[in-house]
Amino acid sequence: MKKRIFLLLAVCLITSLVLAGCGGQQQAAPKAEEKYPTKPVELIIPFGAGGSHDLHARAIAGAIPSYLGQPLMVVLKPGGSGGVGADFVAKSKPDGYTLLFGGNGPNTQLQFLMDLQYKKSDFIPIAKINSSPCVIIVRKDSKFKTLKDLAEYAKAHPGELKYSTSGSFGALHIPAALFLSKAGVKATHVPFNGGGPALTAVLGGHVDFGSQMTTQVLPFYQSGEIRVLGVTDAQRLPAFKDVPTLKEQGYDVEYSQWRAVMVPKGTPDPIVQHLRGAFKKLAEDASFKAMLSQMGERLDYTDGPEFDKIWEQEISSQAEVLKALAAEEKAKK
Amino acid sequence: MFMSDLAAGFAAALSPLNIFACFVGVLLGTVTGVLPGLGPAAAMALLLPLTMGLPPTASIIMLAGIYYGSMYGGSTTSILLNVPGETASVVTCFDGYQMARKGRAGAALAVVAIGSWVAGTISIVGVMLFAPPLAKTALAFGPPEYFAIALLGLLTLNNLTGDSFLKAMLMMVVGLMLSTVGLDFVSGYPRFTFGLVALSDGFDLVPVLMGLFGLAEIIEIINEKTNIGEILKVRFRDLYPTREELKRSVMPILRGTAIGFPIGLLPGPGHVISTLVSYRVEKGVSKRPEEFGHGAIEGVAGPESANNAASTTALIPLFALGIPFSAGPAILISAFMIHGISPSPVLISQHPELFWGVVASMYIGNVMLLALNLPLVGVFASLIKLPPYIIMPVVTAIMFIGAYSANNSIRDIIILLACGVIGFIIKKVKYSPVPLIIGLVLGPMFEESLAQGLLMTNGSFLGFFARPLSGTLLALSAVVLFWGLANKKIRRVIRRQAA
Repeated sequence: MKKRIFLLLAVCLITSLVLAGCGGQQQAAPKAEEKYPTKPVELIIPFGAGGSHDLHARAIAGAIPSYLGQPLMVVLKPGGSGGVGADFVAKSKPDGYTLLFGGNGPNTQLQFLMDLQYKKSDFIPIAKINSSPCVIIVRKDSKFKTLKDLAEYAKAHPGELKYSTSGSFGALHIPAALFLSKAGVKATHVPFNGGGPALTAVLGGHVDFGSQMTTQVLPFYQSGEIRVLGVTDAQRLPAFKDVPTLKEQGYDVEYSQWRAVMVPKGTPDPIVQHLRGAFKKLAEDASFKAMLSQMGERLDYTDGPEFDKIWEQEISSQAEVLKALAAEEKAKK
Repeated sequence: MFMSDLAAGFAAALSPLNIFACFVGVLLGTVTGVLPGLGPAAAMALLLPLTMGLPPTASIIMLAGIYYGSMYGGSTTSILLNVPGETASVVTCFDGYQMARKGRAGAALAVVAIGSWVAGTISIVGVMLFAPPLAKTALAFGPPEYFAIALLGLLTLNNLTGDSFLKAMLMMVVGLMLSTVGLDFVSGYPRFTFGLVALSDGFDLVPVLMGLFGLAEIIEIINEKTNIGEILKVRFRDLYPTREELKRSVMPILRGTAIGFPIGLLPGPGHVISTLVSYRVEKGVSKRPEEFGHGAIEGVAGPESANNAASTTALIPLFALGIPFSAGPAILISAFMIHGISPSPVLISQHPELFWGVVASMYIGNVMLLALNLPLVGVFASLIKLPPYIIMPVVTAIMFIGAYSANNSIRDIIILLACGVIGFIIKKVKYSPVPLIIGLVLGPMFEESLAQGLLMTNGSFLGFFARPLSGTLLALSAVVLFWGLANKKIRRVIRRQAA
């Protein structure tokens, strides 16, 4: 009997030690004299498998080892619309071995929606890889031929129009909300679980218009299934030559979903510079560019300090709209 | 006309590279299916980089092989250990595990393999013939329709295990409550998250299922010191189904295929729902309903066939529309894009060699899986001859690894442990965890569709009835509800008259 109790206690102790070890962060102090990096570097993706961040990360991991000096391991940490992964990196040891592949969702928009334990100042941007603008689409047999038609109908029939996006406060909701606020009209937002179901809703006629990513709708645009009314970029996209930008049509909206690499604040400067250098060389790598264009994406590299300014500006310019949206949604509850 | 396309597809699929890719895919798929916690989506994502070097057809064949291969393997641990290998296999636990306890594990495994092959093959024919029109039908289903389906599901599936109606309802409500944990779908407002970012996505189904079924069972065995691994002399004949068992499985397999085929077109948890519906139907038409829950082979054959049929048709929206309806097809889309092929409504006409090559390889893959799994039945069934003090720790370790690997998060292990304890308590007080699962699975679909539907109709519930499809389904739900109540009243009257 005593032996059994002893064994049980031993097992409990060992289990709790193992769990504690798994859950905590690394305890080893960084040795500044060693040449960074001395072991593989982890890139944390705060989104799920198969998404655009995941795909870009795989392309990066394929091309960067020669510039970085070590392999890059892609680790998926999805959850909380990107909040879980971002939170994890913000709390990680700033030794340059844990990078975040962030996006507007967790790094710009989420803070207006909920109380986060991290903020922009918890990260040091290394490089922006690229960005994807959004498009406003309707079904091919819809009565709306331009954004103006949409806006005028919404003014004449308030509360009637419905639009679909990939989720509340997601990357597709914001540009649509920005367009509606610039046009001075209201429409009902119907959120779906991702871009795919949102697109299905438009195709099936369950909503009047939708907000989508360019890459996802390109084949539908080319086959004529949908009509693209506007793109939220600064100038027209080559793949959508005949589609005017929102700015051209009089709505001052410029929005892109960016993807950028960042490290936790407190990372020593030599490491930050090494990383920035590696990604700069990656941006000039021909094979990397080829991989991106095969995915239908383009490279749109911006270096760390430059991107920091853009990011800061994005937060302040979108703060109003995002706060209003958050208040509106909370009022509904 | 399409026969020539199919012939060309077979020619492509039978090339050495593609056969090899198919074999690797289904092998890996079976392995990931057997391992609890590692689902097909995770396995496909892990192996995606490997396929980058292959030509497009070969890589899609391999990934598709992983996808439907894992549906075969998922039932193995369900039957042997009461641990669902992946979410859709949870129904197989009900009767499959009981069959294993009676020494009929081999028979159960074999029937699953055969049923899955039949269902897969028939469904592929359906995909071939009806892909575009089925896809168009799928488009017609909007949020009000999904709400009606979820409601119908909650009403009809609430009593799969035959306990008292009230107990089952209570468990289902608990499941519905658990499904609300996380960020609110419309407003993004966190509910029941206690400020933890880790809870803002709610409970992942995999650790909950493993805990409620697998870990709870292990705790119960430790508690009662039952000797499940009693070394029966397992004869070779016992490893395979008897003629009687095969005969009993034929109709359930066919019915399961018919049920799984349309339900696979639903987005999200389509394949789980198909297994639940199939179990319900089998129990309803069986001449021996009291056997269900204690080792009725129909309860294994039907759901597993439905599962395979649903997984096959889940690929239709992907190929015919270019839109994935769940995680597995979503990874296939990524594979397409990596190879520069954009999935769209015209994929089939623009890349016929890809579509028909994949369809042909699905036939080949299903045959390969049958050939792989049937002989392995003996191996697996004899695994449970091992003494419990070896099996239990290994299984627990595998469950922990599986739970962690879903999201690289400790949170899932804690959920696994908590659900293990909860599952044990539930069983001790003679409730069943099954309705809880149903609530947890259907809850999100129920709530989200309701919210979306109401947004679409501007808050008017009558709008749901105005649409023909959802109106019909809602009327059906009303009929089911009243039938349930009326049935009891009628029976009471008859009993009174007989007394």
